[in-house]
Amino acid sequence: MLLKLLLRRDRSVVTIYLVLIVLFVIPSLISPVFRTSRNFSNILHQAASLGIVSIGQTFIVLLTGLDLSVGSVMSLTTVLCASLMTKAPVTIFTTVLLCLAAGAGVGLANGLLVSKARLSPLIATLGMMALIQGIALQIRPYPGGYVPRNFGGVITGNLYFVPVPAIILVLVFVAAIIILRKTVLGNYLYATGGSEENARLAGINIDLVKISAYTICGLIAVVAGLVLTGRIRSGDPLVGTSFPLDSITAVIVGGTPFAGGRGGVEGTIAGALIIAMLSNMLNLLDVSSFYQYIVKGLILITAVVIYSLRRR
Amino acid sequence: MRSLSQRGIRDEALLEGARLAELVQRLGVYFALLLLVAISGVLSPPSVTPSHLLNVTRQASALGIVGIGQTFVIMTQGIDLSVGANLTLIEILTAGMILGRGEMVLPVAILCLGVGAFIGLVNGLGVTKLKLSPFVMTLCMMSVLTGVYLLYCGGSPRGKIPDSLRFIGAGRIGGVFPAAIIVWLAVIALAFIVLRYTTFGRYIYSTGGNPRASYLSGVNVDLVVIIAYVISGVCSALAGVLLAGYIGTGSLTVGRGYDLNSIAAVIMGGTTFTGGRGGVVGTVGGALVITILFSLLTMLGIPHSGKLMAQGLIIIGIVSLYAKRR
Repeated sequence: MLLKLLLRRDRSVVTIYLVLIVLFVIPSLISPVFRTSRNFSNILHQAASLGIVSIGQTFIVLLTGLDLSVGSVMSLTTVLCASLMTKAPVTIFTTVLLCLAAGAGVGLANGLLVSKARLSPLIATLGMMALIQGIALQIRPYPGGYVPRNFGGVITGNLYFVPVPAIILVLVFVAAIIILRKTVLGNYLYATGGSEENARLAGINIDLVKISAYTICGLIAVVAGLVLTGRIRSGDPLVGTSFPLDSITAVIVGGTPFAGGRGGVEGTIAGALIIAMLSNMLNLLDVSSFYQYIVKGLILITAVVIYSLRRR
Repeated sequence: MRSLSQRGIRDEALLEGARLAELVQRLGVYFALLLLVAISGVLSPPSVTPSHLLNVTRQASALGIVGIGQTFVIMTQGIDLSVGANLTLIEILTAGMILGRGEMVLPVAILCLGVGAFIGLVNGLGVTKLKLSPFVMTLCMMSVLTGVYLLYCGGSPRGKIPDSLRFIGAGRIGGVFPAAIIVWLAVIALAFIVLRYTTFGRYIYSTGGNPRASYLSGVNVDLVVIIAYVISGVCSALAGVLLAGYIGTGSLTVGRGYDLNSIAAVIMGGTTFTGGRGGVVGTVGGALVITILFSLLTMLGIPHSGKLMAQGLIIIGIVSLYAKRR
C-alpha cells in the first residue's frame, strides 16, 4: 500500500530512485570499501539528519517558500542538549520537550511573519536564522559540553542491526507521507502551493496552512538536531550552518520544484541520500573536499535542468 | 467626457498617493539610519564625529556596491546568492595575481571585473535560457565558485597588494576622505543614472513589473535579465578588488555574509521581491543601516551572538513595516 502511495503522484520519483540505485550499484561494484556494511551504516548515519531536516523543508518548498532557519534551530538543539542534559532520564526527557517547544516556537514565528506580516519567506527566515544563531552562540560561544551516554548512545546505536537514526528518519518520513497524502492539511498544502489565490477562493485558510507548515518544519528540524546531537555528543553553535542550503538542494534534487504544489517527501529522501552518498564516494576516492563544492553545485543544476526539460 | 476627465483626475490623485507611499517606503530606511546615528550619539558621543562616520561609511562601501548589483537583480524578480562567493574569489584572485607588483594593478583589476562579468553572464543565461529559478542557479554558482577559489589557493590564500591599490581600499584622500567611498559614490551615481535616465533602466523596471507585458511590447526581456546579472557580477567583483586593497592579502572568509546582507540591504531599502519597484537610493541606506548597526553593537561591547540577534530582529522589524503597508 505504501508503494502505491509512493508512486501515485509523480513519475519523477521513479527517475530519482533509479539515479539513486545507479549511484549505489556502480561504486559497490568498483570499490570493495564502499560495499562494506560498515560503510553503508556510515552513509545512513550521515544521511539521517540531512534527510530528516529536508523532509521538513519539503513542506515549505511545496508552499513556494523556503526555510533558512532550520540550520540554526539544529545548532540550538545541540547546544541546549549539551547544556541541560544530565544522566538523569528526567532531564533528558524535559530537554527534548524543551527543544521541541523551541523548534515549534521558531516555526510558528516564521509562519506568522510569512502569513500575517506578509514578509517574504526568505527575509523572514533569514532574520529568524540570525536571531536563533545569536541565541545559540549566546548560550555556548564555543563548541563543547557533554551529552550523556544514555542519550547519545541510544540515538547513535543500532536496533537489530538497523541504525537508530535510520529508524527515526523512516518514522518522520512515514508521518510526513501520512500528513501530506492522507489528511486535509496535506491537500490544503498542495492546493495552496499550486495557487494561493485559487486556494483562498476555495475557502482554504491559507494563513493557517502556512503557519502549520512552518511549525511542522521547525519541529522536524529539532528532531534532526537531536539526531545530530547524538552523533557529535556535544553542543556546537555552528554545526547546522550548511543544513539550510543542503536541505533545499535535497528537496530540489528530489523533484519538488520551487514553483511549489508538486512533488513530495518521497523524492526528498532520495535527494538527501544522493547528496550523502556522493560525498561519501568522493571521500573514499580521496577527492579533495574542494572539488565537492563544485560537484554539489553541478549535481543540483543538472537535476533541475533535467526536471525542467521533462516538463516542457 | 466629464466622467473621463474626472477619472483622469482621480487616477492622478491615486498616482500621487502611490508616489508618496513609495517615497516614504524608500526613505523609511533613512529614518532608521538617523535613529541609529542618534542612538549611537547618545550612547557614545565620539561615534558621531565626522571622522568616525566617514570610517563607518568606508566600511559600508563594499556591502553597498554589492547591494547595488543585487538591486538590479532583485528588481527583475531575481536573486543573486553567488555574490559572496564571487567577492571572495575575486579578492583571492586579485591578491594572488598582483603579488605586490604595482604595474599589475590595472590589468589584474580589469581581468577580475571580466571574471565577475562572466560569472554574472552564466547566472543570467541559466535563469533566462535554461529557465532555472534564480535561487537554484545562483546557489549552484555559489557552490561552484567556493570550490574554485579553494582549489585556486589550495586552502591558504596568499598574495600582497601594492600601495596604490591599498590606498584605494584603505587610504584617505588628503588624510581625510576615504578613497573607497569615492568608488562607492561613483557606482551609486552610475547606477542611478542608468536606472533613471536610460532606456535600459526603464526596461529593468518594466521587465520586473510585468515580464509578459514587456515582452509583448518588444522588450528583449532575456537580455535585460542577463545584463542585470552581469551588473551584479561586476559589482561583486569590484567590491572584491576593493576589499583586497583594504585587507592587503587573500582571505577565505572575506565574502561571508555578503549574500544575505546584500539582500537584506536591498529589501530594507524598499525594493521588493515582486520586482519592478525600488532603486539604488534605498539600498545605499540599507547598507549603511546594517553597517552602522554592527559598528554600534561593537562599540557597546556586545558579543557576536548579540549582534546576530539584533540583526535578525532589525531586518524583520524594518521589512515588516513596509510589508504591512502594501
